[in-house]
Amino acid sequence: MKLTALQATRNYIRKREGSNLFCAVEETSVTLEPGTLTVLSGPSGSGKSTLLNMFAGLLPPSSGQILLDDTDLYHLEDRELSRLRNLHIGIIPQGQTALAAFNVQDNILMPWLLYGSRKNEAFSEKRKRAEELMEAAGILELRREMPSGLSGGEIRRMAVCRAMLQKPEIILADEPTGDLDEENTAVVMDLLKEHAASGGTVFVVTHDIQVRTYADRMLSMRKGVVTEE
Amino acid sequence: MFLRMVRGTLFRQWKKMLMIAFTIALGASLCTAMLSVVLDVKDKVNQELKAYGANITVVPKQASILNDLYEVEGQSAGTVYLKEDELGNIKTIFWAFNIVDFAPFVNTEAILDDGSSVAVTGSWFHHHLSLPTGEELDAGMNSLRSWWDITAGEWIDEASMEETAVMIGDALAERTGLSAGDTIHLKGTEKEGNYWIAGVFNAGGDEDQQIFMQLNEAQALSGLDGCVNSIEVSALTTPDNELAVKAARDPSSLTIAQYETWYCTAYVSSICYQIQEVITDSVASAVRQVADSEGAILDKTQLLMILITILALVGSALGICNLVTASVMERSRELGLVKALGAYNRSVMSPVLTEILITAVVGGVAGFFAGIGFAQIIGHSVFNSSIAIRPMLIPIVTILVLLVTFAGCIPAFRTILKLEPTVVLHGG
Repeated sequence: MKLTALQATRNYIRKREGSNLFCAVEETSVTLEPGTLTVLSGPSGSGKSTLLNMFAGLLPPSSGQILLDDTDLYHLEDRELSRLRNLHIGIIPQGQTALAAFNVQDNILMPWLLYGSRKNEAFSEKRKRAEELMEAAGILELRREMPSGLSGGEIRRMAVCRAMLQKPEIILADEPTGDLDEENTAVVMDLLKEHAASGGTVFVVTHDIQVRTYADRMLSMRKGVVTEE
Repeated sequence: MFLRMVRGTLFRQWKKMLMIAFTIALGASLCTAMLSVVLDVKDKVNQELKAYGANITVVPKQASILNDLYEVEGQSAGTVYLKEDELGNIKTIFWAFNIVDFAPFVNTEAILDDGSSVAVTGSWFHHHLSLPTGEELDAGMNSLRSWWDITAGEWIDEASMEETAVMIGDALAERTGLSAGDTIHLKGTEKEGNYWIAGVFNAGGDEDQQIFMQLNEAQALSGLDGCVNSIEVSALTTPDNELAVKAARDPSSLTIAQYETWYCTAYVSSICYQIQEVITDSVASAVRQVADSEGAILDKTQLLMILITILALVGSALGICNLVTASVMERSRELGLVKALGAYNRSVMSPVLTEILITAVVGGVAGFFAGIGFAQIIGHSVFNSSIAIRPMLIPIVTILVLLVTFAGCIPAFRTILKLEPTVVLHGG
């Protein structure tokens, strides 16, 4: 599946430099191709996360379209868009994101549990997938731990596993290595690279120079304008 | 997952949930207490208002005409009477349950040993009556003259005392030098005999010069067997409106619809009309001040209780609103994450609603029983008796608690609907 921003812009109302309209993303046309790990870098406030959220179906563009193959994401109903995101788009949000009432394994299984049941036959298959991901991310031994007992880096790796659970065609990662040391950065980026190599579409927004070495395609963004590097 | 989310929140935010349950319990308890009192206040106020005496008097039609001509209130002309055997009919009218007490009166005179004349009134004293309908009741002037101060002796008890027991006013007692336990000789037009004074009373009026005895004995003294001069009725009434005033002037001036509305409402004029239907050749008229104040007091008491209930529920809804919204805001990052992972709005709201409903059930049940307790405290401190708890209170309070809980949750649900994962997850 390819993800395309077609003449997409995103404006915010904000008092700035005499104008109350702040354009976070200037008119952008960019396609994220399957089998490619695309890295977007740029200074803070350049609009990277905004563009990622637009791709994720979480933030409608002010103009233009976001297309998943030929489907305009923002023409779908809330329920359809939610289900599509659940099945086809894995999101690794910025910061530490975990549900405090669930242990690590259940946090990772969350995308499946939202629509499935533990009594379902497919559950054991999903649990096995979660264990494989946890092992690859080096957090298998923490699967029964609650998020309150984890470090920032461990929560970040848990979020990566969660995004990959449903084997989504697209993974969107916002600073996925933000809290990680070099070794764990390599672990996470290997997982993402592997996903891209298997035909997935991976889009990473980062400041981390180390991540650039994993990129199949490099984009940079300044003041809302995306350029190829 | 759903249950675990609910359980997780209930345990993690137990202090907040406890506050929500407490708020709901407070509203439910006030609601239960006030509605219990509202549903039972009719009987309680009714008992209280019995102290004001009768609010309807029934006299023979001809006597009423004379009263109107000479503007004499409460007197009856000598030669026309009501029938004693029709008295029970009063409890068979459409508004029978609103008739709380009644008593017949026979007015006559007797000669004392010193040759002076004394007014004698015969009536019922807590008289037991078996109606043709199978209903049994006690009626009489004990409650209609509850303000009487018994200065010596006691009220006549028809069940245990001889028929010759009488009560005399304290002015007469002073004039004759008699007191409770003494015997007085009376000579009527048809009978004479000795009567035992059961009690001496102070009524604060003309009655202090009179002798009160049982109805049959007064009828025998004057040869008026089966005859009654007047009937006093204490009835629970609805305050008059324009329709009631119009009907009181002339019921035949009403349209059929107006007539049905008037007849089926407990206006004092409607009850008077119905009494006239069952007592031959009678005119029933309202003692206006008493009748009006009874209905007004009841209405105002109920209105006050209902207003307190509404205020308690509104206060409760506002409290729930604040607490649930705060709870949702506290979890906005988690709820935003669940949305980002693919949950749609309804599936995000369901656990929140379930948590609140569980809390509402706990708070509501606790509040209901606390409310029953409050109702009893109100009953004993205000009416000096228990408040009856009606089964219909359970569905009413349940519905009100659920409505208030849902109303209180609306802002929180709006917050969830508007929750943008990009905003709550940004920069975490």
